[in-house]
Amino acid sequence: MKKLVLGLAVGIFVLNAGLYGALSREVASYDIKARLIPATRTIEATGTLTWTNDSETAVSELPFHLYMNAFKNNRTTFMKERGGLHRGFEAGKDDWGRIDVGRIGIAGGADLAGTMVFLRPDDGNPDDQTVMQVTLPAAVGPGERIVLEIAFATRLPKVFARTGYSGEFYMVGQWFPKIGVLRNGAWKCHQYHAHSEYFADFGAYKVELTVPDEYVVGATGRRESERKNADGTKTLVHVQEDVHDFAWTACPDFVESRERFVLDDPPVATEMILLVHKAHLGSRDRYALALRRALEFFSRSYGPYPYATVTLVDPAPGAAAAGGMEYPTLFTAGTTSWMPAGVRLPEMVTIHEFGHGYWYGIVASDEFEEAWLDEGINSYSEVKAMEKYYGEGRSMVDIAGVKIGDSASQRLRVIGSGRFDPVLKDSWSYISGASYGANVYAKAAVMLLTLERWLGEDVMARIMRTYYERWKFRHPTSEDFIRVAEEESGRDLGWFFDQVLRSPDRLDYAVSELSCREVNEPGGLFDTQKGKPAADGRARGRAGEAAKPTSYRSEVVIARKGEWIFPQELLVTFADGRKVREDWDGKDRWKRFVYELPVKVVSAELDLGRKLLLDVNRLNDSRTLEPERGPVRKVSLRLLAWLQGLLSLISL
Amino acid sequence: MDTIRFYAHGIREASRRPTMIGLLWLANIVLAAPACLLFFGALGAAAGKSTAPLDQSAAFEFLTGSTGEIRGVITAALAAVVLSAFVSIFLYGGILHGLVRGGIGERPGQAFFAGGARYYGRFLLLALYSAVLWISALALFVPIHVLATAVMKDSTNEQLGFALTVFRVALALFMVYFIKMIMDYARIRIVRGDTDRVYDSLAWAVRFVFGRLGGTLLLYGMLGVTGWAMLAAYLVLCRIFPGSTTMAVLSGFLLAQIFIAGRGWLKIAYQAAELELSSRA
Repeated sequence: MKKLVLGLAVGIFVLNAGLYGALSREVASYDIKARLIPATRTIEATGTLTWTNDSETAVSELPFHLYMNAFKNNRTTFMKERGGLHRGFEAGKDDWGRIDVGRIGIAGGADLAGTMVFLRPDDGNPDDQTVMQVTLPAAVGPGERIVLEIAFATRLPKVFARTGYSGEFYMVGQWFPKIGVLRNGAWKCHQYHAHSEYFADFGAYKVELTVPDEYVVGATGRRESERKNADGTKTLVHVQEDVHDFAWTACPDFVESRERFVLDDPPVATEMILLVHKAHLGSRDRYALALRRALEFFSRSYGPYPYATVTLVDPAPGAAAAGGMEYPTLFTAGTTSWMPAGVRLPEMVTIHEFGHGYWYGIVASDEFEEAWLDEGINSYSEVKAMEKYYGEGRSMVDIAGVKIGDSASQRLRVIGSGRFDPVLKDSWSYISGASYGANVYAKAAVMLLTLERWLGEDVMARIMRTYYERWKFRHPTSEDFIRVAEEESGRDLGWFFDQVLRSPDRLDYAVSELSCREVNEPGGLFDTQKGKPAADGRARGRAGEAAKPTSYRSEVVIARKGEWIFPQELLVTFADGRKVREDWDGKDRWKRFVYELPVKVVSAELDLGRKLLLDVNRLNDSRTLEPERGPVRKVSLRLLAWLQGLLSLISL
Repeated sequence: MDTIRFYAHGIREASRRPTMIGLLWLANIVLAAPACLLFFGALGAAAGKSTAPLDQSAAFEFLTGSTGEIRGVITAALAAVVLSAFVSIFLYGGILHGLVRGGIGERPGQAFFAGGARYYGRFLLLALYSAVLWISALALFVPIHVLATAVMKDSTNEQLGFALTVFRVALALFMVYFIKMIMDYARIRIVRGDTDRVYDSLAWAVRFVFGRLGGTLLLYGMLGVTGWAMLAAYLVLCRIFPGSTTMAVLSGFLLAQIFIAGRGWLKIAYQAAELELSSRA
């Protein structure tokens, strides 16, 4: 009763309204008015957050991400974890970013600023202020809604990690106080880490952006209105339902182009908005083609693109650190002034980041705790799209005779990765950024490519489509993906995912031995008949026809060199063309197959059809009795010629 | 016009010395062979009995799966590089001795080895003295490099950044070859005068090159272009032999050896042309 009275007194706006928007459960909706002040690299904003308790538990504490505080000093968790480096870009020494929450209170009610505290749930770092919590005067019950009024100022850093400014280019992401996600009665609101991205609830966004008039602006969602102001600024209003974040960009040097994308099957109608910096116009057609292809591929493979717009942002020269990042209905790509046509970086980044619109944007998994669900699945989708449109084996690089395919490059990352981390792990707890990337992106993608080759392309297509359909506009977990995979394939796949997702080991089966020797006439002493002396085998042989080999004993030993177990199929080929297939459950460390036949064995091969892309050594998957030295000679002689050429240049 | 004459003279003189070309080729392959034999053994052990194609993935698997063997190959290759540097001193002596005094009572091979031994100490000293030139070049290059880095830092002009990078690479290469050219003339001075005054020869060469900058650079450039043309022809011809049949592998190997011998021929042509230029100056 006391709570109720207090609640009414401070004017908590509580409703048992329906949670459903058009496509998602609208849990966290924002209405923000923001003004960019270029002189101070600051955004001053006010707004409201309408949050609905979509759980079974009443809560009286609300945690918020203040991501921009990761750039506040060199002792934040984000900065300490990577020493001020992100993807090779270095933080500026005097360009700190931050977010100051000036006011936070219940709409028409209590000021909560006095209850603000910073939390450090992951590492206890006292210098980290990326998670803030306020305490409500009364709990918000299940299904109830609260409206908070917030005023904040965000100072942007010089961009070195996704967001910030460079010259007159602004990429504004993770810029407002974003409420955590309440799941199963507990808040998920992690600190901002060097190797983690984001997690938030769906909602409807309405954002008014006021910027200098000469700026070209792109933002999440569709533009509802635009007006010019007397003070030389303009105000643009963007709205979007069924998203869980809002990002925007502004730069006077953007060249904007719009193109209608329409697909009949499945029905898709959206507007492609390309904001390409004037220095990179040479890449505009490449971006546009890649985006059309991405829209087609993802719509046909998983489900129709559901939003009215998609905005591609090409970061300005000097702001490459803002590139390659996804936000709902908007993503940043990346190129340079002279990007050779055969280096398909703009295409790959476009397809990858657009793909995140599905795997992160729509199927909104937790990027902090299960990053493979967006990065791995999206890398798998990227490989499929790149190889479909740009050619298998040359989709990434096809220049001057050098050809590199996307799946090969992902596999190389798996081969080159150390055995330190599994795929499934809190994203800030990997031994290094390289290990995070190799596992979360590459190994997860290669795992799905392996699964596809093993189960069949049609089964895998059903898995992906069902997973998307079932979990779009929701928050799935790894178990949800595995459940869908098992349902659609009709197989128990727990053993497979347990190994690949949860163990840092490797898959490596090998034909470790292949031998063949003649089986001669018997020699030595044998018991011929009971009660009679033993006969000499050689004498017995002499008594008969001349000794000559009648058959060959061929032996094949296959070995499990890695820790992961996978059923193996062996194909043994003999000199007369005979082929013998053997199955092995792959559980023991090795298994020997023996054949006594009148012909010699020629070869033994595992992994027929190259299904196991996860196998880190393809060279040992097969063995011939006689070596085939031609290719080895050729490669070695090439090396000789190369070294000779180098030596001929050296002189003192 | 004179430069073309010197160039033609160099080409002609080099073409007349098959033994010298053969010796340069031999020195080259002897130095390169150990690393390649080690590589052949390691690759054969890893892939010789595999039916998997030797593509980029296989190469990466081999490199990551045979790290011990690869270390051996790299060590042998690095040793070959270091040895080559010292052997090159001997070779220059052989070439120049053959060009200046060859044919006078000596067979070509004898003249080559005699020259290599005769001038080795002086050329080694010259290499040490050339540190003066390298330090000077560095003193010129470092401020330019620092300035360019400062200009590029925080620059939003990608074109400028690209241009400055190309400029620095070009400048560095020019400096390296310019000093090598000066060293050529210094060695010529030593051999022609059979003098022990190594430092004076270097100083003379500096004066000589700067005194005839256009001619010396043009001659060096023409021979350089000849080298690039040979490389282009070699790369084009390499495409004729795809596949891994014995004939294709053998043909590719022979082509590579002809190219390496061609580089020896060009090395002699450089020395002969520069010798002619300096004698006519």
